Amino acid sequence: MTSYQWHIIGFFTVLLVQLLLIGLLLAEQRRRKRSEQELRISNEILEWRVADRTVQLQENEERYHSLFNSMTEGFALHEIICGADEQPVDYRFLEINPAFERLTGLCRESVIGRTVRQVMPEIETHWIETFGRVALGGAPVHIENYAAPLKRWYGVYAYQVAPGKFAVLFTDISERKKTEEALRESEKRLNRSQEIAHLGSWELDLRKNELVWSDEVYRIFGLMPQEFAATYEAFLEHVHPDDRTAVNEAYSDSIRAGLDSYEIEHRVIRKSDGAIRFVHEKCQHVRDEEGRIIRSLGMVHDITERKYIEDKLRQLANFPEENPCPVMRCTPDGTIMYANVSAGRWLATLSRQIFGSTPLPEPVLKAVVKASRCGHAIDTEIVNPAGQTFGITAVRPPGEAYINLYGIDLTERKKAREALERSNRELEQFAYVASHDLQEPLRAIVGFLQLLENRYEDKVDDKGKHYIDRSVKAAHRMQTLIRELLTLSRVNSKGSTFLPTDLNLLVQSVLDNLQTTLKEKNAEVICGTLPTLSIDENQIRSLFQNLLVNALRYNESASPRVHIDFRELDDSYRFRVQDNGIGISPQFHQRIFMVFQRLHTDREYPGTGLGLALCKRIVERHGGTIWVESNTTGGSVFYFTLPKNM
Amino acid sequence: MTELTLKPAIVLLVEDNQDDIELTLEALQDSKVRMEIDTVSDGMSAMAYLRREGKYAGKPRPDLILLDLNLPLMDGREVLKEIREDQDLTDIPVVVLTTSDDEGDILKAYKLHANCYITKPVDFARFTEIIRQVEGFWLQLVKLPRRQDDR
Repeated sequence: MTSYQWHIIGFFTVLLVQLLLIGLLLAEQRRRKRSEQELRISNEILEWRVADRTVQLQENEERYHSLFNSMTEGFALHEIICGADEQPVDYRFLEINPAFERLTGLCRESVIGRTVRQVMPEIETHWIETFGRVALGGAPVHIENYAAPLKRWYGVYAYQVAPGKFAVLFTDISERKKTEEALRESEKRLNRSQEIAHLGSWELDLRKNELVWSDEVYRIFGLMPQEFAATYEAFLEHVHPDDRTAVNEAYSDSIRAGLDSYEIEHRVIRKSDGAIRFVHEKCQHVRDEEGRIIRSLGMVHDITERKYIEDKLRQLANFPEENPCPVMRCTPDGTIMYANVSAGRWLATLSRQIFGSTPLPEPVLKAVVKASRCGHAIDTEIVNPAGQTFGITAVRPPGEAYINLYGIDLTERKKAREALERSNRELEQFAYVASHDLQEPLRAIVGFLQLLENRYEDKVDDKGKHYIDRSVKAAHRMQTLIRELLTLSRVNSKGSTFLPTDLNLLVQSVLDNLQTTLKEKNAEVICGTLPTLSIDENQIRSLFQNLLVNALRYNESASPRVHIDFRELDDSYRFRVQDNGIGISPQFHQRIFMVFQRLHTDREYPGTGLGLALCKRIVERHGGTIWVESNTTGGSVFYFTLPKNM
Repeated sequence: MTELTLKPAIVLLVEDNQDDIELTLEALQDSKVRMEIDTVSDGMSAMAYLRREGKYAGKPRPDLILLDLNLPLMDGREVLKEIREDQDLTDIPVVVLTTSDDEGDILKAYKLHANCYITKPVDFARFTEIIRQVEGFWLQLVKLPRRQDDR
């Protein structure tokens, strides 16, 4: 191609471009005009719309504002405040409604623009954490919680308004919470009461076939409360096998017979320890309008303790009944309140002696009257027509108005007592006869022998006189024996009453009696200071006399010594009579206190064998004991005790 | 008394035991006091004697009674009681002379107003001595009421 060609091509090209540009310009001009027009229209529309919208918005705002102000729920708008680690630490109140003020008690001025920690420093952190999650995460929450600073429960709906901002809508649920709490408390109390009373309750819904046990029913059966869903079968399983049929029938019979209620006592076996418990069941049926039983309400009362006490009481009540002796209780005027079987039988035997309105015989009635006046027991004896003697003791228990009467059949005892009295009288008689009638012939023997000796002195030779002498001596010894036997037999029956006696004076009088013997034997008695005691003076004198005579008699010392002293023990005095005599071999220490047991012949040492037996009897009558400590080398020590209180 | 009346003293011995009677009489035999001794052996006879009944109608009133306690028919205690209850006899001294040394007997005798109570000893010499003392005291030493029935 030539340059011309290129020029022409260029020319046309430029022309074309110019033409194109002009065309474009024109088009652009037209479009701009159109656009300006469109823009103008559009602006007009926009202005119209804005005006319209403004009216709308004004209307909306008024509406929302009114709603915002008048709603009963509390409303608040907040922004969350995060710490350095971007964790929520606080939130600021941006807006609240009047209900907020009402429901929280906080006023608008003290809240708006401030943070919750400023307003309520003690606010629980869980609120900030929960709201932080809502504000930052975006998921709304519904919570019910307690706000300690406000002392109220709130039901709160929180949602994100914009990132970092959240709104809460809430109501005060304190009342409802209180009611719920009260209900829970009441249930707890009921449960506790049931536990204390061992009284469980159950309810059977016959339409739904649903059984509910209270906790205590489980406990009575030895189960954990609400361990499993209650069933009638589970209940029967815990009933004692022997009672199962009766329990089952009691329920079904009551339904079949159309009864409104029934009750039954039976045993259950406690599952926890296998113990048998007694329960009292009471059930009431609830009917619908047509009279069909729709529910059964029951209670199970664990009465094991009561049963136990009842059992003990029954046994106690039977105690007087089982007494083979008459036991009665009567009013102070003698009206019988209680009489056991034995008393009934006894009263029946007195039927012919009954006077007046009371079946109590006169002497018993007198005892009753006396016992009701004084505080102590009054005894009386009464013989029934059958000849039985009963001792009746009437006593009024302290603080009671009634009189208790305790009887005892004394018939046998009385017979024995009479026999003993008779025997004692006979013994007395015997003793008297012995003292009187046995001595009379003895005296005659001695008397005539002595007469023979005196009046026929010249007719009797020395041998004859010796015989007479021996006979007289024998008679004298016999008289001594009789006397001592008598004394021995009289220790208990003829003893005097115990009177306080100075033993120093008593021993001195014995020593005065023994003056001659003491001198003859060159003996000395050393007596310590002795106490004053309540004793039978004659008998204790006889005791000392016998011990001293023995101490001197069985003594080969050139200068016999006897020591008398005593030692005070807890409730007695222990006396000691110590000599330097011939002593007694230990094998005879018991025997010497027995009647007529002698260790020596009369030729060696004179004696009757009654002295120590008498001593023993005297000491024993005084409630003491006597014993000897001795051997054949070192003399003898006789001990005896006399109680302090006689 | 003896000096004044010159009459022997009358002693009534009430004793049932023959041995005792004899021994008592033996003991009284050598007495310096003049006396007549009458003996009865039971209580009923004693009372009859004192009241001069029946065969005792002519008997004197004794100056002293020696009374044993244990007697047949009516014992010494009853005799003593009756004597003391009888206006005519109550002033006669009664000496109880007995074997018994029983406390009860002694007390009872004095309660019935015995003048004294003596237990007879076994030894005869001692018995004689006691009898001497009794007669010496009751028949010589003491003054007794004048006998009303002097015969």
